[in-house]
Amino acid sequence: MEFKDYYKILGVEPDANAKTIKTAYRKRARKYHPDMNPDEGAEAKFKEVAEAYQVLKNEQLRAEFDELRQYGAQSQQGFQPPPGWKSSRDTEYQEGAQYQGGFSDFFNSIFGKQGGSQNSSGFSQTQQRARGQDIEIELPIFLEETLKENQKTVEFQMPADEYAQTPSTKKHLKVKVPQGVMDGERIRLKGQGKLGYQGGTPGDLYLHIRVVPHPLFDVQGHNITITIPLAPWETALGTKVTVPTLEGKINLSIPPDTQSGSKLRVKGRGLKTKTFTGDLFAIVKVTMPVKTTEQGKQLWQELAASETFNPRKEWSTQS
Amino acid sequence: MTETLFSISFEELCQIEGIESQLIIEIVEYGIVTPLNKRTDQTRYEQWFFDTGGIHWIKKALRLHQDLEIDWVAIAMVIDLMQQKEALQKENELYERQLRRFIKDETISQ
Repeated sequence: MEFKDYYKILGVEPDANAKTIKTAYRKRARKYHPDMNPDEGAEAKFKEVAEAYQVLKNEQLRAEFDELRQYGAQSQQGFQPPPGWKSSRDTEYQEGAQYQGGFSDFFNSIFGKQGGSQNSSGFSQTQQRARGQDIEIELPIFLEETLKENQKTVEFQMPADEYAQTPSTKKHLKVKVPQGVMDGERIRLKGQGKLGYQGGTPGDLYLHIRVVPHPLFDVQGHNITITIPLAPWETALGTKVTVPTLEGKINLSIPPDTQSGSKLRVKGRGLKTKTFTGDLFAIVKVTMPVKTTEQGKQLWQELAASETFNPRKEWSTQS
Repeated sequence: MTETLFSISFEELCQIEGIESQLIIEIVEYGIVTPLNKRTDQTRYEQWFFDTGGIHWIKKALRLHQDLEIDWVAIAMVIDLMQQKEALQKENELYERQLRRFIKDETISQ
C-alpha cells in the first residue's frame, strides 16, 4: 500500500495552520468536485483531497497522521501501519464530509474501516441499520418508443458491497416505461438500488431517460420537426409530398411559392403523453440537383431571362 | 414487473439522505426545488412530494453544501445556473442538429 502524504495532496507545508489547510481544501474542492467538474478523474482527485482534509482538519487525527508520516517516510517498500497501531477514531464518531464513496485503503488501515453505509455527512454510524445507496443509470430509448407504454429489460451493474461482502453483479430488471417519457426525465424504481445494511431498506434505482437522436426527426418539447427536401420547381409550383411521421406516412400539400425554411404545421403528429399531443413541423429545404442536365440549363436560362426577381434586394438598400 | 414512479415523498426523501427534515425545508425555502404539490405556504411539508428530477438537484445541493462548505444562497444560485446551462446545452444540441440538416460540411473554394 502506498503512503499518502495528505500535506502534499492539499499542497500545504506540514506546519500549516488550520486556516491555510481550510483555504487549500476549498480551492482544490472547488476545482475537482464532481458536481462542478465533469472531467474524467476529477471525482477520484476530489475524494483524495476530501480525505486529506478530513484528517488534517481534525487535531487528533492530524497528530496521529504526523506520527505515522515520520514512520511512513522511512519505509522503503509498501506502507504498513506499525504493529499494534490503533487509532483513537476506532472508538469515536467523527463528523465530516465526503462525496459519496468510501475512503482509501490507506485511510482505512490507519483510522479504521467504516461500518455500514454512509449517511449524509459522509461518515457512517457504525453497526447501525442503514438504507442502501441509490443507483442511477442511463436508459436510452428510441423516439418511437415514447408513443406508447413499453416493456423493457434493463441491465445494470450492481456495485460490490464491501460490508455485506457481495461482489459486483449484473442485474436484469423488467420495467414498464410509461407513454410520453421525455429526454432527461428520471424514473424511480423503488427498492431496486443497493441493499441496506443491518436490515435497512434497499436504495432506489433511477433510470435517466436518454432519447436517442433520430435520423429524421428533431424534438422540441412535445413537438417534432422534419426537414423536407424539395426541388426548386416543387416549391415554385407547389406539390404534394408523402412525409414520414412517427406513426406511418401522411400526404402534405406544399403551396406554390413556398420559401426555403418555411414551417408547415401538422396538428397532433408530435409526441404523445396521456393528456397532451404535440405537433409535427415540416421545414422546407430547397435542394438543387447534383448536376443539371443540358435541357435543364436551357430552361433555367429562359427563366433567368424572363424574371426580374432579385433575391439580394435587402443588400442593395444598405449599401 | 417493477413499479415505476415519477415522484418521492418528503418522508422517503428524509430516509434516503439521512438528513433532518429541516434541511429539506430550507432547500425548498431557498427555491432550489419546489414540491409538486406546494401551491400555497399552507401546504404541510409532511405532505410534500417531489418529482424525480428534483431529487437529483436536492442531492447535488446537499453534496455542494457539505463538501464545499458553501452557504445555501450561493448553492441556490449555483443550482439555478447549472439548470440554465443544462437547458442551454440541450437547446444548442438541437439547433446544431437542425443546422446540420441545412448546412453541408464541405465548402466550395473560390
